Amino acid sequence: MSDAFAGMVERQAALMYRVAYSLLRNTHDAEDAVQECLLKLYRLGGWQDAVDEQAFVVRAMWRSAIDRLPQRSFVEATDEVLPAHHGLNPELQAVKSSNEERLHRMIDALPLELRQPLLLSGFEDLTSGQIARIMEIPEGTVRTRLKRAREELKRRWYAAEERTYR
Amino acid sequence: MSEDFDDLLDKTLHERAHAEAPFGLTQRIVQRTAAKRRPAIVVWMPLSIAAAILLAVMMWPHFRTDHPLQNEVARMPAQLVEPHTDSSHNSSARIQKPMMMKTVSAPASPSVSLGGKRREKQVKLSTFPSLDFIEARSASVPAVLSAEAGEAAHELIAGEGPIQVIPIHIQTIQVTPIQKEN
Repeated sequence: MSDAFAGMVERQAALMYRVAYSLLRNTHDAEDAVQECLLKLYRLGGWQDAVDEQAFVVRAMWRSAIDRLPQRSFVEATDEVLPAHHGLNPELQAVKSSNEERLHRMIDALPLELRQPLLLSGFEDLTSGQIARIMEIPEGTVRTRLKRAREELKRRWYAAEERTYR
Repeated sequence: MSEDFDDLLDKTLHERAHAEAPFGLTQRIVQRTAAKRRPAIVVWMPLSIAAAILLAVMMWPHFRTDHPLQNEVARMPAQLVEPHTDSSHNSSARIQKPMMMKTVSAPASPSVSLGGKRREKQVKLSTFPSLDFIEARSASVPAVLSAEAGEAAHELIAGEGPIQVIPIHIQTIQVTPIQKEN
């Protein structure tokens, strides 16, 4: 294996893992997705010529991780009654009734076009410009979608709260 | 209440974005990626075999001893046939290999036009300079091919005189310039 590729793996693997995990929320799936993505990058190349290596690699990682999502995640689910996430470990199963877990599931139910900027905004090491390059859309559109995602989540959250206490 | 939700959302997003990578992940991935790498021979050998087979199939008609062109040679005018100079052979003619193979677009004949629109057809022309004729092939039936190749052949045959089209095989015709009388 070339030194250049090994160097890229050293630089980006941890971030790639975090991106995969943010979408899949499963250690094994995330690790497999990272390996699959790196294998593709190794065979197809392209990262060496990329203007922004980090954005290029994260975009490739996101696409690989999406392929591993269960099909039902693409369907916009209802606010409250969502099945437990595929492959949740026992620890997460135990806290699935908590607010945090409920929010996780609501995020997972968002359409991908809203979920992607929302999840990537959690990475301090990615600038909004990089998120725009990753999504291949203008920076302004990223901000708009991010705002829409937060508003949509808030609407669903309070709608669910209202149903609970009614 | 709204602030509570925003805080919870930020906390949740931060948590998802900062998952701890398993210890030794990078090393393990580098090793597994290297192990999964396909040796070059696995990729190139099937491709080379496929290319060789394709080439053989494409060139086969030109090496066949029972090729229809062999029969045509006997009917050709003497000046179109290159005699053997080697005395060890008898005087039978031999066909030279194609000097040039060219794929040209020829306007379709009215019989194959659709809705009044002209359709470009690909006709493969093989020239045999020493024999002074052109072999034309396409997927069309001979009658259509004659019309297609006729125009295309004019581009290649020197002299631009009238041509004679002889069907020699299904989907193959021979285009020969008609000798002008002095």
